[in-house]
Amino acid sequence: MIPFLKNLRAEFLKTKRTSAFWIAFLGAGFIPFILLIAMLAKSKNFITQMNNPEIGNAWTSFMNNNWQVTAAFLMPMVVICCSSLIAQIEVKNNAWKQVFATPISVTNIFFSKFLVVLCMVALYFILFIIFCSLTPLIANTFFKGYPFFKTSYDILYQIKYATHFFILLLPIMALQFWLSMRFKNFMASIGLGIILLIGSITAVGMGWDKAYLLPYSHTMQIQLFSRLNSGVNNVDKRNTIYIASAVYSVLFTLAGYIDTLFKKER
Amino acid sequence: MNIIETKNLNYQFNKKEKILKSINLQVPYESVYGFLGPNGAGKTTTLRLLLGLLKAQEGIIQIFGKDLKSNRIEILKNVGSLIEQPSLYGHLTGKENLDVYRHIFALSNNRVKEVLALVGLSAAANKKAKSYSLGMKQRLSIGVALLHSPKLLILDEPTNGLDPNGIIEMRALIKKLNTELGVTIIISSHLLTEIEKVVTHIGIINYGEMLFQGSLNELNKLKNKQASLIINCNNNEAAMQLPAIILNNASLQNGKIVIAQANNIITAQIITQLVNNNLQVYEASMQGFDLEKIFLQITNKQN
Repeated sequence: MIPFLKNLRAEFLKTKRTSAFWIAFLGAGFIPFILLIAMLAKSKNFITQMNNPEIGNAWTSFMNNNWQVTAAFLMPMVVICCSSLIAQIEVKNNAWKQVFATPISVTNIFFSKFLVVLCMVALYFILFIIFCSLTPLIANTFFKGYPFFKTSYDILYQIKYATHFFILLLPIMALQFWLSMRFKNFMASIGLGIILLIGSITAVGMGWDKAYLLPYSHTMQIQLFSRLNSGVNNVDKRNTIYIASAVYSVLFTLAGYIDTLFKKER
Repeated sequence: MNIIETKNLNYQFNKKEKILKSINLQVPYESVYGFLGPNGAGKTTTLRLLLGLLKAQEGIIQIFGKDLKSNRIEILKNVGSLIEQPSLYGHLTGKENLDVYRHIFALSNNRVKEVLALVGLSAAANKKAKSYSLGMKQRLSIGVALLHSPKLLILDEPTNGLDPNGIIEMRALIKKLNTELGVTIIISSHLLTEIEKVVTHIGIINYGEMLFQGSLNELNKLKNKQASLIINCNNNEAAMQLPAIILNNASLQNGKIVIAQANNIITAQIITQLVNNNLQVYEASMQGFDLEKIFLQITNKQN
């Protein structure tokens, strides 16, 4: 355990000033920033909308909108980029051979790096919740008509939401991480990720009944089934997606690990 | 006693071509072992095998008397390496690059400072590695390799791309590490002149075969054996008829008499005969093969 923690510390240091961090930061801030501009520029419309009793809790309604807007495309894109770029730190700096020439097991190298990917995506979610929470507060400071200062805010609900998405994104993290460990050119793994994402979204859009098999569209599908929130059928569909997600996560992680372990040339 | 020993090491990337053929490398403790060969001879493949970066297909690799296959992690705790180009994180500073490995080896912050001073990069410690010159990058890479005070240092072409000053600095560093810290160093190069001043032992490889291996003294003996006597006098044609010259299979090359493998006694006999026959001797010199020539001769013999 101790060698793993030592190596993990080294892996975190390697991410300092990398584009992976900035993608997580900017990806998390993009939608809240656009919404902030809109809430300041079109305050009348938004104030009316947020004070409408039909939407229920203004905070919950605002946060749900943010999750929905980001879930289909932006969220998987951030994950594709972060996962690929973290493994690519070694390729870009020609450092794999130095890493494998240190007295660390391949298991340690693989999982410490993968854990950094998971942490980077977790950071993305933390930042996303912070930015999304700040947006209404800033808007409310400038326009007193917004109801956010006097409405209760359930942070646990947001954390639960984020955790669900995190689990659904695990297959993408595992597959992108494996691809970027395999390909020397990071554009190959990112390009492949984008093709899979667009293909999956298209398949869902066309109503393919086996779309739960496409892990790149799981966050999008969950949003769709949550929005149509009625009937047992949707619950079943959601559960199928969670199961598929778990199976893919294990499968892709193991495949990446075994591939790295038995690589003839490092 | 050898720190590295390989037995019948074979390697091939594909079925058609063998990259290494029965390599029996023997690197003595506390030596500076120059591993020489032209580009593509199999040097880097051998060194990558020693570090476990390639999986050995045939043969045995023993480092510190232990089998690499079953003791890889334990062995690597005492090995530092620099394979081909520097492996540095350009977005991190020089100090942060060393910090990455400091965390892995659980070393103190002071050790980083010591190493930065040792490789002469204290002043540039907080600059990003991508802004370093190639020479600085090579020195920082050696710093990475040295950080955990290894007993064995494996350097693959560390002078590649360096200017003459950089090469001199690198040689001085290698000498210092070996003599002051007792580190055994195996250093590969395709240019003998670059390393002949620092090595104590030499191995020459070409087309995956070990052509020569031994101490610098053994190579010097070979050098003496290969030495030629060059004679130039006022009438070289007449001199060619003298018994001492005929007996030693002399030949005329570029207007001068060349006698191969001439030792001191033969040289004295020839000069005496030349003088006794009233020939005026303008030049009598030993043209010893320098290491470069021996290297070229050995590697060309195989071509």
